[in-house]
Amino acid sequence: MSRDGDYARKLLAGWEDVHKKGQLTLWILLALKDGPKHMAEIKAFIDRGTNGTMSVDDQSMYRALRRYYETELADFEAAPGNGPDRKVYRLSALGESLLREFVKRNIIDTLYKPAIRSLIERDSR
Amino acid sequence: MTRRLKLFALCAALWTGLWFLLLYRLLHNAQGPGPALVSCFVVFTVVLSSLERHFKARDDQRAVRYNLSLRYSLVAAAASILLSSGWALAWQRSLGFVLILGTASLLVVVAAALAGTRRRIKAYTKDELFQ
Repeated sequence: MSRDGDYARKLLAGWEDVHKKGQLTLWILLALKDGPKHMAEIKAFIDRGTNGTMSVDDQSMYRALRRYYETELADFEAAPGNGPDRKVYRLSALGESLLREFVKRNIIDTLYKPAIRSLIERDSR
Repeated sequence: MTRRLKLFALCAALWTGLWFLLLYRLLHNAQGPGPALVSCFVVFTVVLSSLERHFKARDDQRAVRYNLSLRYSLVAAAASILLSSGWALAWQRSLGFVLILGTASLLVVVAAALAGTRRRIKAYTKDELFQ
C-alpha cells in the first residue's frame, strides 16, 4: 500500500507539474477579472484559487505580467505606497474578451458538458 | 512604424551615408579590405548597435502589433548591407555584381525575419507568452 501510495503521489506530482505550466495565464487573467490587483494580491488569489497547489515566484510573475502588458492583455497604473510606486494591474478589454472566449471554448463547452461533468464528479466527492 | 523606429531608420541612413562619404576616397584607392578598413567597419557597427539599443530601449512594444525588436534589427542589417555594398563597389567597380549581391543579402535577411515572425505574437513565441 505504501509503495503504491508513494508511486501514485509521484505520478500525481508529475502530472500536476506539467498541467500547471499551461495554467499560469488562465489564473493571472482570472485574478485580474476579479478586479485590479498588484502582484502580491494576484499571487494570493492564485494561491487561494488553486488551494496552494500552484505557487509562482516573484520573477516569473513579474515576467508574465510584463508579457501580458506588452501584448495588450493587461494594463497597469502606478499606485503610490510607502516605498516605490506599486503597479496595479487590470484586465484590458482585449484581455477580457480573450479570457471569455478561452473559458467558453476550453472549459464551459467541454468540462461543463453534463455528461463530462458527471463523469468527473463521479467518485470524486 | 513607431516614431522612434522612424528616427532610428533616419539616423542609420545618415550614419551610413556619412561614414561612406568619409571613407570613399580611402576606399577608392584601396586594393582590398585591409586592417584599417576592417577597423572602420567595426567602428561603424559599434555606433550603429549603440543607436539601435538607445532607440529600442525607449520604444514601446505595446504601441504596435508586430515584432518591434526585429524591425530594429532589420533596419540595422539593411544599413550594414548598404555600407558593405558601397565598399564592395569601390573595390570591384562592377555595379551589376554589387547590386545583385546587395539585393540578395537584403532578400535573405528579410526572408529570415519573415520566417521568424510567422511563429511569434509580437516578440514572443506562443510557448513564452502562454506558459
